[in-house]
Amino acid sequence: MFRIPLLVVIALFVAFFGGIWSAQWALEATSGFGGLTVNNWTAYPDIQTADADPYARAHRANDGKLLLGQAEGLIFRAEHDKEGFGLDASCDYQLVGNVPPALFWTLRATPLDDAIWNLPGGRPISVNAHNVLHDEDGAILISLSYNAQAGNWLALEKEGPFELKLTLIDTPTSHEQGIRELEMPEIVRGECR
Amino acid sequence: MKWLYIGLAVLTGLLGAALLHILIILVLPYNTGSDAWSKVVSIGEPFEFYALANQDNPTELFNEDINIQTAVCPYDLEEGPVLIVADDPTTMWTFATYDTESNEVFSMSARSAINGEVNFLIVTKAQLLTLRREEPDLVNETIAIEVDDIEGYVILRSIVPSLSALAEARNFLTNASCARL
Repeated sequence: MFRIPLLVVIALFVAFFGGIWSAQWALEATSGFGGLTVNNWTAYPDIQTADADPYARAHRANDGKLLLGQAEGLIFRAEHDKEGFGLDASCDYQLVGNVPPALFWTLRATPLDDAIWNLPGGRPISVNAHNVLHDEDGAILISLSYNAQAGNWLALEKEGPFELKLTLIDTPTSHEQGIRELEMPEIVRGECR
Repeated sequence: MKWLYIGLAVLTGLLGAALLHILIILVLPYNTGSDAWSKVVSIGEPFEFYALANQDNPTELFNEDINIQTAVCPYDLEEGPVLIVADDPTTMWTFATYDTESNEVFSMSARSAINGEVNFLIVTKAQLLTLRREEPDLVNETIAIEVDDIEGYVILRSIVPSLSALAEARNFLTNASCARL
């Protein structure tokens, strides 16, 4: 015959571990609900404001970063290529298209834990609006690879998953009306080693 | 009968788990200890701009993007308004103020500022009323930002398109002042 105490222990066990596990999972899986996704790039224009949803607020309190204000800019992140595969540094990629209008922008590749790769000196760790080369139509093509590339080259580590961060400084994109006509570059996978 | 009781216990547990989940998410922002405000306060005394290092360090605040150099200044309006001034109008800068819950209060970029100058006044509603009466010129010459919280922090960033200008950008940030009136 079952005793009441055993049932209470089961209920408490489920409540305690279920609650903690699901909260942790939610914080790791998402930065909140207010995401804006275009071509696999996602940004959170409201995450630094008082309007951020509870998940976004918990996430940002955990990260503790000095976030960009609305008039300062917006960071877009991508973890997947055009086909939906996770970005992996053992492959080469090409970034093709246009960057939304901004006073200045930078493109970086980082490991998923937000650390910074320690690449050998001289390798380009970022491409920005100032040093990027445009083609005749004004579009850009950036090669992402461990090996040196001609044209615009963003160096990757030898292997491992990574994400891309496109930081737009002073961009109409971070205001409501700018969001609709947004064009982000496509991430196309090339050769893998 | 046995399985019915166990099933009920698990269901009760799940209900409890959902409540705990909501509680953790709601309470967490005030208890992480690693939120932006806690880190800013531990970086140093208020009323001074601290230009962040480019590598990770014990303050846990650093410039993840070397082209965007960041400086932060914690403030306290208890004894009066705070004036933020920086020199070089040729620099591409952005500015933002945050409250103690790390919510954005105000932000601006060089492009929208008068003559591209950094000249901001952070005041409470009462302080602004007094200043308007006593020093109307000062209020007119600066951009007055009215805040509800008497504590908070200010972020000034210098955009560095080419790394050869890194030293100038850092000078701009360390020379910026964030002082009581």
